Amino acid sequence: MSSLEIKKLHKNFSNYHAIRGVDLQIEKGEFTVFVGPSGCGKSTLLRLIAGLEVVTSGSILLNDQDITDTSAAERDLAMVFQSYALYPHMSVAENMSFALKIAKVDPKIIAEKVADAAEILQLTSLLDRKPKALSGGQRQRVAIGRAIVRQPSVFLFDEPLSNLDASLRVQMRQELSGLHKRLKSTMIYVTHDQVEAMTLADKVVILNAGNVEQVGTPLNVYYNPASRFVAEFIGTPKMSFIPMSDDIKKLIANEYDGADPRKLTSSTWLGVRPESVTLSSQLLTKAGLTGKVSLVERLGAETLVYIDYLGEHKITARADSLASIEAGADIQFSIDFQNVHGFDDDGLRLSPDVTDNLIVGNV
Amino acid sequence: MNSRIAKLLQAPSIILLFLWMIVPLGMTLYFSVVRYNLLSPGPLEFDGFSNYAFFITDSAFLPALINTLILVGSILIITVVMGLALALLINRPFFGRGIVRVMMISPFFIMPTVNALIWKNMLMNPVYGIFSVIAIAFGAEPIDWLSEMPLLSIIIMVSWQWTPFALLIFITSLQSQDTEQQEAAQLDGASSWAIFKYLTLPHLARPIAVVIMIQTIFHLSIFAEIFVTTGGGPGYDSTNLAFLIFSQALLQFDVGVASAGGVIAIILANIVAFFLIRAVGKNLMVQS
Amino acid sequence: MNLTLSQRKKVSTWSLGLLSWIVALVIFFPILWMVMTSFKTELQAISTPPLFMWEPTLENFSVVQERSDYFKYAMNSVITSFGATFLALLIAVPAAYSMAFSPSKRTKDILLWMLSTKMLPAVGVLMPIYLLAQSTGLLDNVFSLIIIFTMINLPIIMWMLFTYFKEIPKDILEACRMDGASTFAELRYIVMPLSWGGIASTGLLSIVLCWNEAFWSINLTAADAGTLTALIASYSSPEGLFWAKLSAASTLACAPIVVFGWFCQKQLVQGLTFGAVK
Repeated sequence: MSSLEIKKLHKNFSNYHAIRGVDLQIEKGEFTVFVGPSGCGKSTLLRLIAGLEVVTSGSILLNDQDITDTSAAERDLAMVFQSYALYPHMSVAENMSFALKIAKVDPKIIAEKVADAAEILQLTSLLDRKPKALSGGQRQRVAIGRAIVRQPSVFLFDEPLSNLDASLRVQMRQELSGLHKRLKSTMIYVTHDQVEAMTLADKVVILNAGNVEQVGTPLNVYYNPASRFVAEFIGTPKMSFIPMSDDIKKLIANEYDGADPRKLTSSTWLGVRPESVTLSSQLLTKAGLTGKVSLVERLGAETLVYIDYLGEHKITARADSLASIEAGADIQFSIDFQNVHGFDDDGLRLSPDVTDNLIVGNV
Repeated sequence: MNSRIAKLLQAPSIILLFLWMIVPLGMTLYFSVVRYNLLSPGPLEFDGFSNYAFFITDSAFLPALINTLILVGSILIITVVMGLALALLINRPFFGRGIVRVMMISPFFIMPTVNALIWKNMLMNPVYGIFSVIAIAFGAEPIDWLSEMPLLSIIIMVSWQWTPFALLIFITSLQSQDTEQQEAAQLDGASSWAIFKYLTLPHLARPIAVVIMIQTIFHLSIFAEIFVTTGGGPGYDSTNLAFLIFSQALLQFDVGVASAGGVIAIILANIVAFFLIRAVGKNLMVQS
Repeated sequence: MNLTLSQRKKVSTWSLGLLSWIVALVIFFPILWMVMTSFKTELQAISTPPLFMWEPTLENFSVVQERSDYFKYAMNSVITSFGATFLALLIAVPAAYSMAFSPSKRTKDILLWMLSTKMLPAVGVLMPIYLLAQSTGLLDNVFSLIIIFTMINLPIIMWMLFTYFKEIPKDILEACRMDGASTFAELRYIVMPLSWGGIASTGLLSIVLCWNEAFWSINLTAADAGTLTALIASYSSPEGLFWAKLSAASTLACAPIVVFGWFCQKQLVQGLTFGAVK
């Protein structure tokens, strides 16, 4: 188990500033997920840690030792690639044992370790096959096995599930989670899929345009997004944003009897998650806002209702499975201002944290 | 790998190729402006452009130039059209396609000298050749191919050798064509001709460009076939530039005139390459 | 007659197949005829109408050897083809490897320039090369032929190898580095095993091209370093009608390369078109 520290890291490609001063602390045994839209620098950050890209400035410390100038081959990290990057001319067993063979480990010990890893990953019957003869999921397992066998100080995963189909992805996600519990190793995982980030991570690192936007536990990030960017990125369906207006100020004054503990009235935008919107079929409730239903998506367990508010602002709400709502109808809704966040012009959150102490988040 | 090692690894090939290009080229340019005949030894004297004048005013020059262009042009048309037709013919699976394919491409691997001698002796010979046997069987007068139509004979020989090349490239490209696209077109009610014209032909644009490019390079200097069969004759009827320069150089030992011819051949190749690149280069350059 | 769709398809497949076979036989006929003639006596070879059934004889093959020292020419062909191929690979493999795995901005230009040297017509530089060979005493010498073959095929070989090396996914090399492999281990365990097939087919193509090369071997060689192309060319001088012997010599000269060609047709396309057609 190892800890990793990144200090003031910068990466310039010839004409592109990919990483713009990242500071980050990763604790021993932690499952850290880098998440963000494509082009945010998450893969570059991982490749800098791996040693596959050369750092422009700043430093990387592994167990308090500076590895910034150490070559990838000597960093003792293992990486699982998006394309799996299996050696096509080697069998599964040879793929898994290659690193140990290079390190001149005793063949007996290699055989044991490969057998162990194969057992964990249910690859025992496939050890003699070539990668070509494996399915996508099996190749994925071999790639993970190749990393496990080495017992590296840190595991690096570069979008490892994105080439799998949806159901397999869910299964592998659960297996990876189990694997982390079992190995208790430090793992760093890159993904653009916020569901993977939420379900796998001990610590989520949200990146935007080469900067760290927020670091925290998944639930903390969900309930207390530091910025509009994070708020939009984490959570499905997405958080809706409505502009501050006199009407809404009145509603807030009603709700809090004139006080403004969430600093909503001084914000320019309110971020509203679907679960904070309540639809009402009766007109004229006290917190009433009106809009027009633009689309109804019936997912079975629930129904998503998209409302046009003031013509141009879309608000997403959840309704019951069988709610009788039709697209095109006018609709009344209210907002639970206790759980709404206010954002300023720069997209930063003004509201204090929703809960001072989230109980969940580190199980 | 750092860039110094990279340069070191690339250096031998680059330097050697550069020498291979620049040294003979420089010498050719130099020889072309001096008086230099192996039969009359003496100091090399600067001679201006008289070698060029001699080569160009030689009564063989114009026929050779025209023959060169006729050879390239007609062989290109024949091989591309034939190659395309054959590729389409064997594009779909049928019994023994593998063997048919192997038979069709075999001529490409035959040595040019063997190719020329088989055609000259066993097929085109006016007495014993298969062609004359067939002609007599049909009651026609046998043709003495090599003396009556020498250029056409050369065109046939070279086309026989190079049609397989075009075929090989076209069929490889056809096999990589998207079948879903064709099926979609069929559902849209497109006829076979329409599919060929609007889907297959555009798909083959680049392979055709490649074939034209490479064959032009080779056919501009057809040599062995002429050397072995007609020897450029009768008269200059089947002499091309390459053969003319060869006869100046190694039959008449006039290095100066041969070099001037060489420079002219290089200029011609560059002119043709220039037009070729303008015409088909767009298709070729999309590469990677 | 009304045919169902599937019957119509069957008929068209059959008729197109039959047509393909006929065309293939016509195209292949000159080669077939050459091989058949090589097993005839000289009289049978020129008999009219042509003989399609006869008692085969092997006599021509031994006569060819006796009269023209066939094996010496064949050895020259083997030596020049394999020598030039080996030399070219020796120069080209490291260069193509470094171009593929640490490309610079000029890599593409260098490759295009290499290709452009193929545009230079051989006749244009015949005189200098001839005189250089003559002055260094390398006229009619296997060694000079090897160098020339190496140089004329180097651009094609560079392109082919470059394409093959490029096809090795970058990810695999990175995975290998993450596995702790040094550059040497990377070359030995990953790059070489993965590109072995490519290097082999490049070599095969080079051998085919050298074997059939006619311009330089006719112009620069005589009795000592003559290759099979030059030997066959010498049969053009009219010394009577020795078709059966000509056929025997030709068959021997072509057979290995034609068979080679059958097996590497696909690589040949890629090589000759510099990877433009897959």
